[in-house]
Amino acid sequence: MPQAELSAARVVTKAPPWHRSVAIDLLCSSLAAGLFAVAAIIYLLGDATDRAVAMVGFVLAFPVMIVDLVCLVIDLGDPLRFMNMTRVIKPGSPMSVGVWGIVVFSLVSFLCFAISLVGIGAYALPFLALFGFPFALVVANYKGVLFSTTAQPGWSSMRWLGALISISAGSMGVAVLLAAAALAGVDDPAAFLRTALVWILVVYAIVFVALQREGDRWTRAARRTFAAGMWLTVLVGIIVPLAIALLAAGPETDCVAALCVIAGSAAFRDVLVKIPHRLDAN
Amino acid sequence: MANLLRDLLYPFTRPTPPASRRATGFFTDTTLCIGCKACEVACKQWNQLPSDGFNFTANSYDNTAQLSATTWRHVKFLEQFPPSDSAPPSPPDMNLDLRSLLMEAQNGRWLMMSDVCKHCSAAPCQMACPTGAIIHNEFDDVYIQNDICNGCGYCVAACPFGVISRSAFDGHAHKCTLCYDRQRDDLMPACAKACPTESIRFGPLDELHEHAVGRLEEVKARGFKGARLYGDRASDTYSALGAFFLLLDEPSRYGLPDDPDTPQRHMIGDYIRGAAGTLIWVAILAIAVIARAPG
Repeated sequence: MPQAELSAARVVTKAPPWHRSVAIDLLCSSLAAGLFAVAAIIYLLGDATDRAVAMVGFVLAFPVMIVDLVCLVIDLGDPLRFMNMTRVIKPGSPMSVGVWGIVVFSLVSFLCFAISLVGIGAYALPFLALFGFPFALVVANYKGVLFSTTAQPGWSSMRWLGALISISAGSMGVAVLLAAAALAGVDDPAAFLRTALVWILVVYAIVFVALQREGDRWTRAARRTFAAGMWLTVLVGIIVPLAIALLAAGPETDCVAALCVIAGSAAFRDVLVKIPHRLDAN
Repeated sequence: MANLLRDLLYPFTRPTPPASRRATGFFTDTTLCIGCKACEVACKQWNQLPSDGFNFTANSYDNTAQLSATTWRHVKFLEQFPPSDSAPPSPPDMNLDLRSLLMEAQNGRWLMMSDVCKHCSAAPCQMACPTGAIIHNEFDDVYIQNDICNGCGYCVAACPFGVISRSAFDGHAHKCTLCYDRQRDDLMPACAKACPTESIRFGPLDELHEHAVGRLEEVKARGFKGARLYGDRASDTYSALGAFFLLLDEPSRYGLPDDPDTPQRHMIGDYIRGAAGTLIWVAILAIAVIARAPG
């Protein structure tokens, strides 16, 4: 092919220097935000038994968030300048919005973690849960928008990516707390969490299909390249846990379902981060 | 301790910005480019950028391959020749005259273009930057404050032209500064100064636009009907460019996007769709809790 023809077929953009640590960050931020948001809903709307399950969510969310923060910092070209992220507030930059969301969420998440673990100051927990809830949703949401509002082939045409990442966060939060409730032998919370998981996974599947149908030639190329990863996401992250929740409820199987939801979400995020790199290499 | 405190607090200080000056930019007339790479050399020399290793790229006479954190001007060599399996070119006509040499596009042609940061009026990299390191300076050029950048890489992802890169040396993002230091001393950027054919012109943007329109008419009058200006004005999806071009063919032939899109145009819609998705799963869970809760 003449060289100028090659130029016309090539990806113009440069893939960002984001690799495995960003995929882990994507997973951990979603998991932490999902755990906290689900725990907050259960804590604020449920009874005493539900609150015990919710507190497991508060206890788990903060350590996961710490892993996320470590990934965020080590992924920077100059990690010692992490604090420069807080120099400005830019509503037009999803990363800036996300950083401020993470700052507040991490603080609230730490307080809820400490209170749930130590048990002192429990009267503050409802207020903290209510205050932290919108910030957890911001953390669950912004990453998808951060990726879709780039010029990168594949990402830039995924208009439903923010919704998908957020629903994935919710599904992980519900699945993990369902496993916790089932292991603790509290049937009531386990029952409504199982119902919620089924419906959230159905919505997840619908949005996933919508995401597969949209996009430009690069997105279609990405879908072909990463067909195995995408199918793994659907099979492991949606179909298997859905089948378990509908057909084989129980402490062990609920744990398997939770692991499957997390594994499927991890597979999707891994594929997502790789898309521009692979298209760039092609 | 004092030094550490100063280093931590320094990025948060806000010195008074310099007064605005007349907007400047580049007009790169690719029809005049002879591929000498003087602009690349001058840029590297002035900005003290390291060599890229003289690697063999198997891509015409190109050995720097692309714009990067260490290459802020890149001369592209674009060969437009028929595929090798088609009929061989006819033997050269020895009765050459100046006109036939100038209009040699019978059997193919070379396109050469000195590429650079486009210094977009509404720059996606500047909008994306979460630290405020990327600004429009007093000349309205897009400038990365190297002492602020923390190398998050979001500007790399946001640039639709693939200009910005993160340096492996210091971990920060780098690109053409439009020789900000030289401009402040009323000097022309190094590349424009070195260009022997005035393919790269530097000056106030309004004057460059006027000159570019004249050049386009001239080139079209010479028979290059496909000639066009790229980035001289805003489109529906992208702002005007502070570094714009006169091209002889479609932008994609030069490795430029035909219709660049500002990624942030979709942000509000994407947030709304994200919020809708969030609302659905939150509502499902809330209903599940309430519908089960006693009383």
